[in-house]
Amino acid sequence: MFDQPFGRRTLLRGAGVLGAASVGLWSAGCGDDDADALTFFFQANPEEADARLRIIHAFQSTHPDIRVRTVLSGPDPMQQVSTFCAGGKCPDVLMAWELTYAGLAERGVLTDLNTMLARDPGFAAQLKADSIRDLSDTFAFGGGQYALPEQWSGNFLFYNKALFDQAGLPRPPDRWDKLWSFTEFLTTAAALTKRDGSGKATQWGFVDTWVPYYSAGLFGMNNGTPWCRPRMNPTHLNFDDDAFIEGVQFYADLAGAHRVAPKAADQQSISTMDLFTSGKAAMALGGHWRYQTFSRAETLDFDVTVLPAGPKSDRASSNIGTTGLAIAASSPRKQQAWEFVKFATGPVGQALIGASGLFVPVLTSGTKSAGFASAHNRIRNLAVLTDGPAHSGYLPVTPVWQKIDALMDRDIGPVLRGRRPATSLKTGLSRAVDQVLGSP
Amino acid sequence: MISIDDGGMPTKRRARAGRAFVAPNLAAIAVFMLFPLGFSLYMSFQKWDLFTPAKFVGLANFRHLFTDDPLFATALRNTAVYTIGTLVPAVLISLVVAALLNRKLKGISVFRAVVFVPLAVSSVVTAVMWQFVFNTDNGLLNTMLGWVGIGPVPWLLDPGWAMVSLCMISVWKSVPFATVVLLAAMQGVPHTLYEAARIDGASATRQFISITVPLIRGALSFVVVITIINAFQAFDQVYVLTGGHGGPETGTYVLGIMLFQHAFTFLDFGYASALAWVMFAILFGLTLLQLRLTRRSALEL
Amino acid sequence: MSYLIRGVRRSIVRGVALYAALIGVAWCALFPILWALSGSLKTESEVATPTLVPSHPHWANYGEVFALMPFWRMFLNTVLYAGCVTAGQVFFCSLAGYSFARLRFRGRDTLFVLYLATLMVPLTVTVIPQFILMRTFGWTDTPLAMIVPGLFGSAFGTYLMRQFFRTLPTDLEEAAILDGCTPWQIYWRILLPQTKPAIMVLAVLTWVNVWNDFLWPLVMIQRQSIATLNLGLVWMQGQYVSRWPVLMAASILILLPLVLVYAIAQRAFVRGIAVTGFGGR
Repeated sequence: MFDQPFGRRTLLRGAGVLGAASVGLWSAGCGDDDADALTFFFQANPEEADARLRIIHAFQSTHPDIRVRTVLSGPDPMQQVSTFCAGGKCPDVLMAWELTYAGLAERGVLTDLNTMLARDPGFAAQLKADSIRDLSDTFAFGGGQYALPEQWSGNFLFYNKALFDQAGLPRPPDRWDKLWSFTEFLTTAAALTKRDGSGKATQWGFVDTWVPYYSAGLFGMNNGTPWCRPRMNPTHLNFDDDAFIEGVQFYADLAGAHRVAPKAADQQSISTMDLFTSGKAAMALGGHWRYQTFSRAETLDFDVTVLPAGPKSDRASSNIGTTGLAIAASSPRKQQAWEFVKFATGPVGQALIGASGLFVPVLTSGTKSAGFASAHNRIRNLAVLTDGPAHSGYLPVTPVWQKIDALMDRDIGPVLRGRRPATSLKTGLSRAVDQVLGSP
Repeated sequence: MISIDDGGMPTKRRARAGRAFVAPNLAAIAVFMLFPLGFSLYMSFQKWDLFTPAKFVGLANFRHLFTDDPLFATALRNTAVYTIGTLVPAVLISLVVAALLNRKLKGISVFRAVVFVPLAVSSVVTAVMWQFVFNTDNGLLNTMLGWVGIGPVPWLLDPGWAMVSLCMISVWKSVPFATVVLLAAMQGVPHTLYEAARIDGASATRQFISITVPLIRGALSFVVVITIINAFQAFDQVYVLTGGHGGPETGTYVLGIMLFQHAFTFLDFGYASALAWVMFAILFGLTLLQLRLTRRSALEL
Repeated sequence: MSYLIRGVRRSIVRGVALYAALIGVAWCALFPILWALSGSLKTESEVATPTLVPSHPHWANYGEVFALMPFWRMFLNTVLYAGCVTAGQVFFCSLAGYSFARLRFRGRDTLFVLYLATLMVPLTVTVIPQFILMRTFGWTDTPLAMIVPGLFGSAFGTYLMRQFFRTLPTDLEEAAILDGCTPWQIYWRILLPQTKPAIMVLAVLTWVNVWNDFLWPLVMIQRQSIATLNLGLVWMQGQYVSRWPVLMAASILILLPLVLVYAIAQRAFVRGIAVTGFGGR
C-alpha cells in the first residue's frame, strides 16, 4: 500500500559503496603514511625539491631504521608551520627561517638544541670549529639554540657577461673588497637599458628576482645603516634613518625615475627570472638559490658580483639569509630527528648540499669542497659566494616579524611604485613598527 | 499548524521518539556550534596563542581593535567596498537575467542551465581561472580591451584594480544563485496581472518595475541578505586570488583575511576572536536593519 | 496590411534581440571556464599569445596534472568527505525536521527558536574554537576532522526539512497512526518518500558545500594523502607559479565532476528550490 521508502535501496547501496570506499582508502592510506615516520617540513620549488630528496635518500641509506616523510610547504610556509603546530601536529623536523623562527622559539614550539648538543660533545666541537659564527648565532634567540643553520642564502647580483661585453662596459667587481658605488651601478644599468622606437624597453639594466620591499631594505643597508641594533629582539628598526631611507629611495628610483628596471606593470607577465635567462636583462638581484635555474639556461653566459655600496657606506654587504633545521618541542621522535638534523647540518650533508649547487653550505668544509666548486662551474667569481657570509649584514630577529613584514608590504609598496617618497617611511612605517616591537 | 493527535498511541512514545530523533542533531549543534560560540566569546577576552597559557586581558582586544589598529580600518573599508561592489551589480544583473530567462522561448532551458553553471565551480577554482583571465598581458580581459584600443590594466598588481577584480569575480559567482531565487519568485507572479497591464498600455519595462519587482520583494530581500552575509565574510577567493596578506599593499585586505592572518599566521587567537565577534555584531546589525527596512516598505504598500 | 507586417517585423527583431541578449548572458557565465579550457590546451609558449582557440590541442597538459599532484587520491578523499557528510546531513536533518514538525515533546518550540538563532552565526566566529576542538580531540590532520563536525546535521538543514514537512498533507500519516505505526516507521516508510524535492535540495547544497570548502581543509590538513581537490589546487598554484597550462588543466579537471553532476541534477534542484519556498515569499 505504501510507496517503497524513498531511496532506501539507494541509501543502503550508497552506504555500502561509501563503506567499501572508505575501507579501501584507509588501507591504501595506511600504506604510504607511516605513523612512525619522521616528518620533515620544508619549502622548495620543484628544482630544489629534487636536491632535498637526494639528501634524504643519502640519510636513509645510512640510517635504514629511520623513515622520513616529507611535507612540502605551500606559498606561505610560516603560516603553515604556525597552523600545524597550533593544531597539535607539529612536524618533527622543520625548516626554520631566520626571520620567522623567533616567534616559534619564544612560544616554546622549538626544542633548544643546546640540550642535544650537550649530549653529543663530539659533534658539537666539530660544528663549532667548522661553522660560521654569525650564521649559527642567527638562531640563538634568547640564549638558546633553536636551529642549526643549513644553508646560506644571501643575495647578490648576477650579471650577463655577453651583454656587458656588447656594451663595451668593464666587468663589475669580482670580490667583496672591491667596491662599486651606487652611481657607478646606476650608470652601468643605464648603459645596459635599451629601448625600441616606441619607447618600450627591449633590454633592462637591472631586474629584481627577490622580494622588492626586502631588496629596498638591502639597498638601505648598503648605504651604511644596519636594519637595527641590536640584532636580537630589537625595539627599533632604522626605517627612520636618513641614510637607510636614501638607499630605499635609490632602489625605488631604479624603476621610477631612472627607468633602468621594470615596474611590475612593465614586466608584461614575464617573470624577472625569465627576463634574465632570456637575455633581456643585464643584471639580476637574486639569492644564491637562483643559480640552479640560471645554470639551466644554456645560452646564458653569466657570473656574480657584489652589491653596490652607497655614498654613506664604505663597504658592500649582502644579507645573511640563512635557513636551518629545527626540532619540534612536542616531537615524540626527538632522537631520530636529531640524527637527521646532524646529518644535514654536519659535514656529510653539507658536502652534498654544496655538490648540488642549490644552496651555499654553512660549514667552511662545505664551501671549500671540490664538489661545491664543480657545481658552480658556470661562474668564475666563486669568492663572491664563499666570502658572502663574512660580508653580510643581518636582518632583525624578532618574534613579531610577521606583523612587521605585513607593515613593510603596506608602506614600502607605494614608495616603490613612486606614489610616495621614501621619507614618508620616517613617520608612517617607522612609527607603526616601533609600536609593534614595543607592545608585549 | 496541523497537530496530529494520537487517538490511540500513547503521546509519551511520540514525545520520546521526538526527543530521540532530535538528539543527535542537537548534540552536534551543541558541540560544534553553541560551544564554539560561547568559547569564542570567552577567548575574545584573553590573549592566547595556544602554546603559552591564556592571559585574561578584559576588553583590551576590543580597545586595541577600535583605537590602535590601522589595519582594522583598512579591512573595514575594503570589506564595505567589496560588499557594496558585489551587492549592487549582482542584484541588478540578476534581476535583468531572471527577467530574460522568465520566458517561454524555445531552448530557454538550455540558457537556464548555462547561467547556473558558475554555482558548481568552487571559489578556489574560480579564483585560479580568473587569475588567468586577469593576466596583465595575455589575459582575456586585456586582450579584449586591446581590441578596442585600451591599454592593459594591471588587474592584480595595482591595489585599486585588485579590488575591482575581486568584485568582478564575486559578482560572477553571486549572480547565478540570485537568479535562481528571483526566477522562481518571478514564475510565481500571475500572468493575469501582466495581461491587465498590457491592455492598459504599459510597456514591458513599466510592467517590470511596477508589477514584477514589488511582487518578488520577499525573494529580493532574501537575495540581498544572503549576498551581504557571504560578501562580508569572504575569504576563499581573496586568499587564492591575491594571497593571504590581502593583495598588493593591502588592497584586498578584507575582514576575512584579517581574521585568518591574526589567528593562523600571527597566532593571536584572542584578538582574532574579538574581531570575529565584532564582525558578527556588524552583520547582525545589518540584517536587522535590512529586515526593518523591508517591513516598513511592506506597510507602505 | 502594412500594420501586420510591421508587427511581425517588430516581433522578429525582438526575438533576435532576446536571443542575442541570452547568448551574451551565457557568454558571461561561461567565458572564464572557456578561457581556462583554451589555456589548458596550449603549450607554455603559446599561452603568451592571446588566441582563443589553441592551434594544436596540447592534451599532454592534462597528463601532467596527474604527475604533479595525486589527483585521484584527492578526488577520492573529497568524494568520501562530501558523501559521508551529505548522507549524515540528509538523514539526521530530516529526522530532526520531522520531529520538529510532527512530534510533540516538551520544549520543542523553544528548542527550535534556538536553532533559528544559530542560523545567524557566521562561519568566522566558529572556525577558531572548532580548530581548538579538533586539536583537543587529536583529530587535526585526520579525515575525522573533515567528516564528524558535519555528520550529524546542521541547524540549516533541520530548518529546511522542518519547513518542508509542515507542507505535507497529514492524511497518510493519520491513517498510519491508526494502523499503529511507530514514529520511526511513519518517518521512514511514509514521509521520507514524499520529501524527495527537499532532500534533493539539501543533498545538493551540502555536497557542493563540502566539495568546495576551503578554509577548513586549509587549517586542518597537512598530508597530501588526505587532502581535498581544492587544497591540492592551491598547493599546485604555489609550487608551479605562472605555469598556466597545467594550472588551467587542473582547474578544468576539478570542476568537471561537479558541473556534470549539476547538469544532470539541475532541473530537480531548481524545482526543489521553488517547492521549498525559498522564493516568492
